[in-house]
Amino acid sequence: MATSALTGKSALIVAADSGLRELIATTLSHVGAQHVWPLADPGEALDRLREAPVDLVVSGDPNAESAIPLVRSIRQDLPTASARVPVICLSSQVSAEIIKTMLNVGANAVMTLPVTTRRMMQQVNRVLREERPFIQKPEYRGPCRRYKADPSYDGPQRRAIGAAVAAANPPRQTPPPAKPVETAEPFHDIGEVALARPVVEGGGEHHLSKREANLVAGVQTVAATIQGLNAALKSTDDAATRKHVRQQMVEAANRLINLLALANKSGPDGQGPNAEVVRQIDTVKRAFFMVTAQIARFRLEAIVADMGRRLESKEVVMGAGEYLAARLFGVEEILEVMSAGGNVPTDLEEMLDGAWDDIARIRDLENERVVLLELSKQESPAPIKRRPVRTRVKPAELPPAVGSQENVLNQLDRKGL
Amino acid sequence: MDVLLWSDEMSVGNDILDNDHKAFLSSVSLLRGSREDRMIVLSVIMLLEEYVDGHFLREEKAMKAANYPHLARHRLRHSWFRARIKAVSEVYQQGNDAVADELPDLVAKWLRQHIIDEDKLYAHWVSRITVDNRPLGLLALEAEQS
Ligand SMILES: [Fe+2]
Ligand SMILES: [Fe+2]
Repeated sequence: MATSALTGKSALIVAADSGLRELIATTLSHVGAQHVWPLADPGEALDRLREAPVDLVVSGDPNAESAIPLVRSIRQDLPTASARVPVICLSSQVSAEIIKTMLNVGANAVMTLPVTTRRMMQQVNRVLREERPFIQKPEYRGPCRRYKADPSYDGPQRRAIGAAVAAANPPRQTPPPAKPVETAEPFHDIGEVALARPVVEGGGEHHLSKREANLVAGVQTVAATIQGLNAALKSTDDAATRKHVRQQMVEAANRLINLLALANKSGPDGQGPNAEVVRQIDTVKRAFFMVTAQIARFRLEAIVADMGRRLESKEVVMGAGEYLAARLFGVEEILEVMSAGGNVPTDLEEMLDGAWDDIARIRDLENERVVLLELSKQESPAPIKRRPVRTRVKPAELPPAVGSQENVLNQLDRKGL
Repeated sequence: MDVLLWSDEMSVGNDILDNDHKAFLSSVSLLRGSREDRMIVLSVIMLLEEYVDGHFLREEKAMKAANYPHLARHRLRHSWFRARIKAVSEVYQQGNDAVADELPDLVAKWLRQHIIDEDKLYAHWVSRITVDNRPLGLLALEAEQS
């Protein structure tokens, strides 16, 4: 399990800009710092360090060079106990030249904005854990500067200074859109999802505005996701598949909600939504709920059958309750997604409630077994927690679209989701 | 009333989780102060994304340990919330700086609503268990890896 080297430790922050100062403070506390002293003035920081050492110093200034005198003073003017403190410098932009200078005056790491908790944690862990000798010579006092390929700089200039280090923080990649999956055995009539003809901007029967084209593109993405879900229908009910199905469903549902909100908003010229676009959204919405209902039903029936066998034979393996509950929870999540967008068939709801009762029964059997086992060992039995009886609460209405405030909604609109 | 201020009615009866919620509001308030510096705004938005990952994992673990019966619904609500934060983050990262003006209030309202509609419902259940108290950054990392 990952740990943070800063947990329970103290850090001093030096940044003249109050926003940056608070940002660093927040980041460090998310990394586990117990005491954080945010200071605006470098002189005050040096006084504070002279009084007592701290575990880490983070200096922040949009202009990287401003930190140089502070780092130099920490290394040269303070008593050894305080001078050894690891120093991280954070700034907006740095040149290769400045990085060299910063490291030469004794900084342990140079980072650029934007800073995230993750990047901060990496750097903090590195500077607090690395065993770099502390050099005390008349011409230089500070961490040993013979670093390998310069791992101490974390930011976009990396290549510019010729460091052959893979980017510690690669740009986030947006996952490729779900590919339509050919299913050998298509279920009922979700064929309708593959919309008859993709409507292209400015072409075909309807002349679509940019905004409508965006909506249609969104619809097609959802349709592709549905095809993918359909393919997952009969795949194994293991944890990885459940996670995948859940992510796909939530993403598709979110997209649908946004599409609906955007389609109902009139366009920039005040005209109402294009009827064809609305029809497509509606089709895809119906197909989505049909597929999710089918997945839920298929899985639920399998679980119920499995439980029936176990209960009848009283062959309950220890841990079965937990395993079945995890599978059932997966179904419950699917029903939650469905209930947010319409209604869950009553028989499915009843089947789910019944299944939870069966799980409670299986847990009781497990419990009895434990009691027998424990009694045979002449020890007092430890009761197994029985899952409380579950009642499904009626879900709230559809959540509001992503940006309920006008400007954000407009931005999302322009972006085509 | 300032939506960025914590109030007692938002308490879920657990210090660790209450502190998370307070930390969220104070992170959001950073957006009010430093709007001129794009890099700081971007950092705060990314911080919120990480926060959401970490805090939601903490809550979901607690609800699971407490056998909270409405975990599925709550997890779904978390998914909506996460998707919203992600969407505004994308919009901002594509250069629409004006969005930042509305963000603090919007995001704080979302959180307040979520706490009152959902989080408070688990208060009673979670009161009997020990909540994972590792720093948010570590939980965010775990959420990403899980
Ligand atoms: Fe919460
Ligand atoms: Fe929550």
